[in-house]
Amino acid sequence: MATIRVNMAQLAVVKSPDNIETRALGSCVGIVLYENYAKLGGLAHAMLPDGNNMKESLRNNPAKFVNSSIDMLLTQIIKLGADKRFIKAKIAGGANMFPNIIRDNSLSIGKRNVDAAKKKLKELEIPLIAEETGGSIGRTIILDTSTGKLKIRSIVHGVKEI
Amino acid sequence: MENELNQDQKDALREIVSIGAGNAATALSQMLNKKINIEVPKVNFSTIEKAVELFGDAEALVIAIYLQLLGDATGVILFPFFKKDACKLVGLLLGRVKQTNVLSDMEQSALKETMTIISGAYLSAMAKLLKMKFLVSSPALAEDMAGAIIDNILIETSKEADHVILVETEFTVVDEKILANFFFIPDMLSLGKILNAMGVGTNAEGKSSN
Repeated sequence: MATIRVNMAQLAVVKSPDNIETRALGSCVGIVLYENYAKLGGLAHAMLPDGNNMKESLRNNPAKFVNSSIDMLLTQIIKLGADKRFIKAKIAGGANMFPNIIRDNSLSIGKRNVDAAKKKLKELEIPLIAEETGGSIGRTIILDTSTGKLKIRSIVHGVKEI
Repeated sequence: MENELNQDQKDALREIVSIGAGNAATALSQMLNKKINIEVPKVNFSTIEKAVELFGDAEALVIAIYLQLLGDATGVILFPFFKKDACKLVGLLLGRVKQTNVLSDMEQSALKETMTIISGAYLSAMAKLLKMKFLVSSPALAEDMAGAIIDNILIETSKEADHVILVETEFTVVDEKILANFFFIPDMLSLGKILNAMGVGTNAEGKSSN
């Protein structure tokens, strides 16, 4: 059993008993897709909602953006053997680490990442069954592919599961 | 910017930052009445994705002071402290030994203001040489995982570039063994301006990574 680590602007899919994690999400958002019967999980660590208004050359990594990372995660997890009907999603992160500089929450990149993820999941008809987002705390997340539980570690709240 | 900086550009950047850091160290030394050592600045060029690794353990608890650089160049100034160093420094600033490792509002404020002064000293020396005008925002403080604090800065950078330049200068308060790191993270466009002002800007200014 291994734990696959996903870094910033990366994504990966794994099969139980392997687990998958990403560390220290701040404003970035961690998107997890899980299929309970095949025991397959995928995780993306996305930085920005989408690549609109950005130079072509900066848009070549789909894992960097919420929209394209969810598309890619879905394609890869289905390729690995997941049944689309049973795929469920969880998201974490999207914090605002410096709330006194960026006061207006609607402008914070974390909030925009979370909103983009929710919108995209809805479009793809993937149910979002749990989330742990916002605030001003960093989060490490670990997906247990045998149960689908998402473990969330933070300095303020310790470890909790969603 | 497509390519890594060439040797001349790295040397120029190290040179200008050393001068800023020297001025900052003098300011800090006078405030604390202690001897300050500074290391030769390191110029780190990294992809956005790998930049977190430059800060060491992503989950390490840090107290970070964050200032936005404004004016003729834009970017970020960041002081990520390990908790024990932040507490010792606050103790020195306020002239008392800290009994707990929780920073009160006043102690946080002392740390923020000191780092603003240090940044001012650093930037004014650089600005004078570059004949540019630099300003800093009011300071913000966050206490959390290093990776989570840094991702915000990297997200901003990633809108304009796929690489980031982090110029790191290490300070030590010699007698107290307090370690502080000063990170200067100019936007890619501003980096081009700075290199141009130093006469080494040939392949920096305005060129995008197409």
